[in-house]
Amino acid sequence: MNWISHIRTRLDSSKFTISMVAVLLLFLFAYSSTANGDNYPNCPFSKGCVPDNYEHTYCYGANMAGNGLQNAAGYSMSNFVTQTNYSKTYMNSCTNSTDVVFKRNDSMSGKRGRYTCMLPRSGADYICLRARVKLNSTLLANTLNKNKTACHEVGHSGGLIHGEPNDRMVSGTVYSGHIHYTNHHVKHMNKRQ
Amino acid sequence: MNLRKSSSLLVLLLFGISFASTGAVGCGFLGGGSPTNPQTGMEGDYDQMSGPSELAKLPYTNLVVSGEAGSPNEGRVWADSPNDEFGALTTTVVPLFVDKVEQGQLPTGADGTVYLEIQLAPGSEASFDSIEGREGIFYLNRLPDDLGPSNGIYPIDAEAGRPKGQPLFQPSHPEGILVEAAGGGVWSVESAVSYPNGNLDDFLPSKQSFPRPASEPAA
Repeated sequence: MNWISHIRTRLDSSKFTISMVAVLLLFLFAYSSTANGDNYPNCPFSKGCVPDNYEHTYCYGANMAGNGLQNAAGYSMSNFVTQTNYSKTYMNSCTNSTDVVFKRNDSMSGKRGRYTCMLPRSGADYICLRARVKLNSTLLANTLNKNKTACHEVGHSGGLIHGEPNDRMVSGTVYSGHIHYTNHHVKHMNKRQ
Repeated sequence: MNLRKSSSLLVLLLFGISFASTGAVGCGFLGGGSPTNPQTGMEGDYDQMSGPSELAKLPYTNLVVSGEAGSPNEGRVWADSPNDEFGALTTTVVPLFVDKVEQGQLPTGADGTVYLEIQLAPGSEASFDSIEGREGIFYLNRLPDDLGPSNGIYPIDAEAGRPKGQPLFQPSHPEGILVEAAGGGVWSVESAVSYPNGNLDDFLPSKQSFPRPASEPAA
């Protein structure tokens, strides 16, 4: 029955080959769909979408005057360009092409600040053409927290989501620190990824 | 070790590496949940609560209900001025069919339904529609009935999304809208956090702590 053994051996080899090919194909599929090291969700869910270029224009909408919010917004933009490769341009009037519109909203229960991408670029993932940042002055007790939250929301406009200890992307009230983005976050913002 | 075994091990190793590196979370992403869970598409800064009891004690949590979410529909527009073109907020109204009032009282004239106003980022509406039919627990803040210029808001189509005269509520906190998650567990809609091993009873106002969220490793 040598020929039976022979056939059995060849079948075993074929099965082995087929199973290895299947596993290799699965590997290729899994690897090709691997996320980046940091999870930056897509538009149009608009969470931390990336700006369309390295010039970050901004303006102040209604009600931003007073309560130190304009100072905080200006501080956040200055810090943003100091730490990254971005430049900033302040616009006296908001337009359709303004990257970040700062507004005040004291009626957001429980929310110190909020970032929304108002205009994702059509046909492209991750790109936001115009964003809005709202700041709630009733929950921002002092300059440190106004600055931190403004920087937090501007970080979202630069493509970041929530993040590392002692970084501006951490959530909630702070009592010290949190005055910079981490190197890791800066790298991502500079790569616009 | 023969060639066959070596090949098998190598392929298994490659497969394992690719599987493990899928969906890495290097920057503290707070879970994200299944794509079939309702998303608001917004990101924000807020003080995280220690648990449902802390949510319930917030000064602007004036109603907590459990019930079922109805079909979302268009709500009013929050403009910041009469000519606000570059950041007017559209809203969505979700009727909540109340099974039980866990804290507070229903507004006068409520017919067993309260109306939740929520703000969605453009493009997230289709995802958010999946809230319909889900049971949930909702920590709510009643908005002023006369929300208007004195609040810095110029509402457009102020009565939209609900029967005339019915008040609107908003989430009292980003962690305060909890619904059944697709595939089991509980989903926190605004904070986009998944609690895969939780159930809605874990989020009642009497509970001190939240269940473990999906982003935290088991102890």
